[in-house]
Amino acid sequence: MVLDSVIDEVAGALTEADFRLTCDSGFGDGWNHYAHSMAWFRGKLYVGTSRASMAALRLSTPTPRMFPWPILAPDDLYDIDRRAQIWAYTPETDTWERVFRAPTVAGTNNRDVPSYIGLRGMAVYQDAGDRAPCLYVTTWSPHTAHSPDLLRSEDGLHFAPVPRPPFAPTVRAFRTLQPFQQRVHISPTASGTAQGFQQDISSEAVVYANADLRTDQWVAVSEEGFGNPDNVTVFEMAEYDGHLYGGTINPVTGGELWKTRGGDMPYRWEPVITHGAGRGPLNEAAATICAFKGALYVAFGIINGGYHRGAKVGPAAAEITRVWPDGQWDLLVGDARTTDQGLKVPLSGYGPGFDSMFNGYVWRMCVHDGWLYAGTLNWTNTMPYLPIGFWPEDVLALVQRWGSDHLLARYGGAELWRTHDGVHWEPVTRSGFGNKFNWGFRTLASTPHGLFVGSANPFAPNVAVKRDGRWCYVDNPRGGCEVWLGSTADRVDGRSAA
Amino acid sequence: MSPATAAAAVSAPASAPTPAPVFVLAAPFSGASRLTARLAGHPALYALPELCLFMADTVGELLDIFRLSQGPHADGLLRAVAQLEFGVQADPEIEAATQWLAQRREWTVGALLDELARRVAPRRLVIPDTETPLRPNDLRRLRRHAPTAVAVQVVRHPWTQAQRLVRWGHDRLFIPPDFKDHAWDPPLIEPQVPWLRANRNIEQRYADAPQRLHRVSDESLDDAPSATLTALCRWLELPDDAATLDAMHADEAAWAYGGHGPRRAPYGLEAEVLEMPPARERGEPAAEASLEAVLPWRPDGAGFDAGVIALARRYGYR
Repeated sequence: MVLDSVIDEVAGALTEADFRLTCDSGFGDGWNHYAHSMAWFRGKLYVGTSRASMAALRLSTPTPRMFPWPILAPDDLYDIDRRAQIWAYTPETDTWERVFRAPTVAGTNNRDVPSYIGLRGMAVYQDAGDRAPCLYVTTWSPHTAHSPDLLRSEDGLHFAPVPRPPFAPTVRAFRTLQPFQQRVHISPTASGTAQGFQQDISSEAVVYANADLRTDQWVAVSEEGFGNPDNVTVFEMAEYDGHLYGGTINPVTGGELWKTRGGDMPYRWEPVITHGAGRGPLNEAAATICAFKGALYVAFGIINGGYHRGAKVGPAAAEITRVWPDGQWDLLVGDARTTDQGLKVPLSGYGPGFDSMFNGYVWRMCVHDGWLYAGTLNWTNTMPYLPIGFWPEDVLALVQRWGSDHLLARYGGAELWRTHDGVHWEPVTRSGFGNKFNWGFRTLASTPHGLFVGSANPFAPNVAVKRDGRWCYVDNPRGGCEVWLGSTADRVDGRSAA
Repeated sequence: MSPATAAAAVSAPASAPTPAPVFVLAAPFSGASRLTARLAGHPALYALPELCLFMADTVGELLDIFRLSQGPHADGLLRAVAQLEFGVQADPEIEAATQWLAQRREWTVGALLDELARRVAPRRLVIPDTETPLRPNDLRRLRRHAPTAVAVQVVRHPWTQAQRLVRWGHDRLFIPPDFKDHAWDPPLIEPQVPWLRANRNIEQRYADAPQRLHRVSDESLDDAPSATLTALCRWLELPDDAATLDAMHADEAAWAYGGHGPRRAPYGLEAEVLEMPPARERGEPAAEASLEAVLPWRPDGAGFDAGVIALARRYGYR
């Protein structure tokens, strides 16, 4: 069990006090629910948003069981301006500027609809036709619009799509964008039709590569699901040890990790981890992957916040593993178990979710100044809306013993953890930087000015609260995504800067 | 605010040198309480029950954890404070100890440890601990809050340790998830998990200071008790004359914490000391212990894990 931090004042290690808020309330527009992508480019921080995520979640399949719905939104989703935005932050002037707003197109519903409702990935990369590194942005399009695009910008002001991969019409988004061997690699993520959508599971589980983004020469470099039909999406990719790695969503036997040396297309892939690292579907998805100090860190979790109700997976909290070049892996945070590599015990001593069942997944990891940071999705603050009477008795007992008010006040909100060795993990914040509506830390970016942390905060522009025993909706000034900047440069009271 | 927290806060006293405490670290059911009971007989030592101090940095956080815990983690500390501050372990004094701790919420656990050490000085504190070794961060807290402390690692053959843990867990409603193999549904009680975790963590934490760690096998207390205790006394730079060794072999009941505490804090030592007869009385001869054995608590007919075998062999087990 852990309550609060073991904070060592170590040079370069960020504590909660080192962070300051650079933007709140969704850049002044609460419908900017997620700071969904982030990159450092030409001396500025770029953040791509996803709009009205909580409003759209009500239309996902199956509909999450929450009552009342946490925010009040129009019955018709298209009554909300869901044009995704990109914002740029200039550290020297501490100012944000909106540099992009998605255009609208004529939708299949005979209305003007946004081309992009979310921007789920960013990468800085110099492609064959680029005179300098460009900012590339992956998009999420509604089913009433065209297929999602890969956007390119040379200057951070003008964004235009490059030729699309040959996505099926049901593909609605892609998020991971991984350069490797002078090719860009992407994989579809969300899917959707008029019957509903799934924000994480794609209708294709394929990795596409393109060596020249001026062309439409996208090539599928993997088999569907790496040959396993239960791998329904290639959710995340990373380069490590001269290989391209791809992690999957697999709600049947558990998430998998594959790698390839690349070379001639299509690639030859080999499995590294299968069966959710021996945890089965409770490690449904390789949610974030990050190379750090010679190992590849892979965090597993269950999509939809730790409970994939449509597939009857979970609820359960996230695990963190790390993989070595020879395929051996360590369990860092999670449940001890026998595996095909022998008995694995959590080297950190922490159980799933850093001993919190509310950390449904680790959403993003990032290396900054010699430390690995991991941001979680934490669903504590949805408890008031959940039918907790249906929960297992042991979970209910736990909540009652803690007290839901206490839980919300102290641990409502996403968590950010750090480690310098993968074994010793310390919390930076366990309360969404004091804002329980920050339910996830979706984006992290290491920059010369510090570590930027972007939140997912869909409890805006209003939120359901209970007053005098009745639910009502009130404006929520702490709703909407936030971006925090952590730096040791401004430490005071004798704390040395690093 | 609860009545306990409403009590007037007491500032931590200025730090003053106290004899370096001795921590007896071990995996659960590996003999930490048993060895501590032996050390309790040494006139230069003062042995406490398990305090579980290093789950947190401050007393306040520690009390919060105790309050939320499903186990009797608070009992040992309450018994210790009741005995040392109020002279006896009885329910009224346990209540007084609760208040005493609440008044010191702002203290670090290191300051609390120093205070307990002052109470028993010039004797040295001996504190068994089977919780801290399970978590690297807790071991790091131990090193940070007790920088002068030394540690005795007690190891036991994984077969014997497992037999005891499985027997204890047989009729328990709550078994810590740290003791289970989660590859099974429902998770299977698997003593190898805490055995491997604790021993590996202890070794790694003291890898940079091997001179501060002394290893003792639990079996040696049966096979060569005098030699084992003599070697330990010498490592601790304590008298090891015959009279002292006789005192260390004395009845455990002479130890103030050797049995159950009062109703409000009945525990504080491992269950194998408080609730289970010694192995030799139950016919568990060490000769049966084998790293090659098929493990009867596992439905899959498996033997010990290769990592457990390798570490156990390094400890001299076969």
